Amino acid sequence: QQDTKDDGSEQASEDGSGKGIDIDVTVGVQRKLIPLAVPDVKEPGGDTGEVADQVQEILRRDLKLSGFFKILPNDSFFFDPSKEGMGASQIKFQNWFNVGAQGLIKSAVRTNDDKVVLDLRLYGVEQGQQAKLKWTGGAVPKDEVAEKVHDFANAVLEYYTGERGIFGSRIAYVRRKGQSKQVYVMQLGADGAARISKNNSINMLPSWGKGAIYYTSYKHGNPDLWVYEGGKRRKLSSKPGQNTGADYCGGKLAVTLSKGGENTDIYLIDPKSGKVQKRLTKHWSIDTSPSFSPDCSRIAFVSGRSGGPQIYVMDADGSNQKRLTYQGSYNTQPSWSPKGDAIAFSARDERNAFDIFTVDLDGNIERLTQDQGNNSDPSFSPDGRYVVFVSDRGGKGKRVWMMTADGEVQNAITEGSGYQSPAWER
Amino acid sequence: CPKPPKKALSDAQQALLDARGVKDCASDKFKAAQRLLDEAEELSKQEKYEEAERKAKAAQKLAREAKLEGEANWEDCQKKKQLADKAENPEPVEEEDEEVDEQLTLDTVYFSYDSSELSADARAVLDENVRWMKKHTDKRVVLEGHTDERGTPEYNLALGESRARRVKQYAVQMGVDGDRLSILSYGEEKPAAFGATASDYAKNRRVEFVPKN
Repeated sequence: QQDTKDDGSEQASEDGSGKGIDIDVTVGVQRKLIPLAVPDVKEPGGDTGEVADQVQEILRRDLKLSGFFKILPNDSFFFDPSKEGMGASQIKFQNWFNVGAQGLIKSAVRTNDDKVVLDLRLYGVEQGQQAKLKWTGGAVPKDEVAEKVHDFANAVLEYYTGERGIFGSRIAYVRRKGQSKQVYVMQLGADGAARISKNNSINMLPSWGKGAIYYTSYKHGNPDLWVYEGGKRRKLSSKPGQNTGADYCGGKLAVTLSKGGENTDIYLIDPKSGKVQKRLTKHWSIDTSPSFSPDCSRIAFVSGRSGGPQIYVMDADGSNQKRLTYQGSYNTQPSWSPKGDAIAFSARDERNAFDIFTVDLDGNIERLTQDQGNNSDPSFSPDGRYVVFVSDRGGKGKRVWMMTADGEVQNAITEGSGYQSPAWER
Repeated sequence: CPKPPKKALSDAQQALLDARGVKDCASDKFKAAQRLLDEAEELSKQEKYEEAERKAKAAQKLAREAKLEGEANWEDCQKKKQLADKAENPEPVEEEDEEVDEQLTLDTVYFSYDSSELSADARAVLDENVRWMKKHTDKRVVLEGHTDERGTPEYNLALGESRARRVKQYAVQMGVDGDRLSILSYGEEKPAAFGATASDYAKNRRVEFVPKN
């Protein structure tokens, strides 16, 4: 029966991209944002300015998404920056100081046949000097320009915060396509998405392994676990019933199996052959959604043994099972932070709205989203400084959003609707 | 001295007893014979023995004729009797229970929020589905478990499955062979109703009986 609520997912181009990324008002920002001036990219001699636009857009979007910078609007410059040269001696730092910039990014590109020469520089306005970044410019093939610019943004982040940025890292997600659901992969800060699942059934719950993407597919009529490796797809575990929620860590693969409706429990299976190695939970209730700690020694999971779904932790061999969340009646989707100290999860609050929280290993809970529609499906970034999630705020259907791990700066990173289960590459 | 006509009286009583079986089909004669016997017994008590004996013999003769007449038109007298009965109290005639091809269907079982318990309505639907299963013994069925979209995908998958498992347990208890029932959960991925109202959600919290072809 036709999908009556046509949310335009069909029309959305394969690359699911769009220029006007929806920006949310940053939520009561306490963190001090570093003001940056990012004047337009110059393309001396270049005819179309097309490469310049691409570089400029990636640069501004990455730095804004990072949640550490405030990009000063171009119209706040009371002088014409395009006339100013690239070198420190040619720059009137006083002008930039007067518009409130703490950092200034000067950038120029030169295209010769299929190569592009990138000249990107960060200046400290007060010091009037160029900052020393772990990044080198120079000539790159045209199709590697985006990656090079992401890398520059990552280097700027490292300069100011001491930790390299994660732009260009990949996020897998599920999106409705007609009556089916497909797994895609996008690059943070870039347009376009590559399609991973290749069948017109329901595909869901993607996650990352070493050079691999795991996902559950109904292609053969049962929710089986498939793995996408080296461009090829193969079925890894197809016990009757659930084969879902795979989570990889250091050669170990935890997964949820229900063995033909016996009961839903968590097992370790061999990442190569899919053979069951060890059953970790034996409780009669639902036990699902394993998430390894960064050192692979412990696993967070969801259990219904105390009545409703709650977050539990156990050692990686299934011993020491302990309940962690004692607030709320529906806590699921744990994602253990790569920093190790917190677990993000989604919870249904007393008004039946879904929001994202973190819990530390002593059970202290913090709320990251509130009164912004329904927010769920959290997944930490590889550096643990961000969480990607799904929100239906703004009434535009479910889209993928990204926020700083303290929840203060939140931005949409996809267009259209019908998204679920984003999973950040780790 | 004259004695009561014991023999004549007992012969008349005997003749009446013999005719009792068919008395409805010769009712006038039978009633007349009965009356004569009563009079004879009365006369005998009044010690009018001669008169009593004469009436007793007449009663005996009449009773024998009644018996003969009754037997003669027994067939049609019975039919007349049945018609008469029906006219009086038309009690429903017991229809013969011919093989009614009942339109048994396989219906969907619905659940309340966050639960896989079987409500009374659910059991009613299940009882009919079990009857369908027992009638179509060759058919195998997939029990497809579903949830509404509230909640999260992976936990809903498990909830959909526990609903299907609950239905299977019930059907097996009611005598359906477990091997004919397989379980498949779609969680929230295959809604029957696409809206977000309470009634849409209710339509989605379900287990469907899907015959395998």
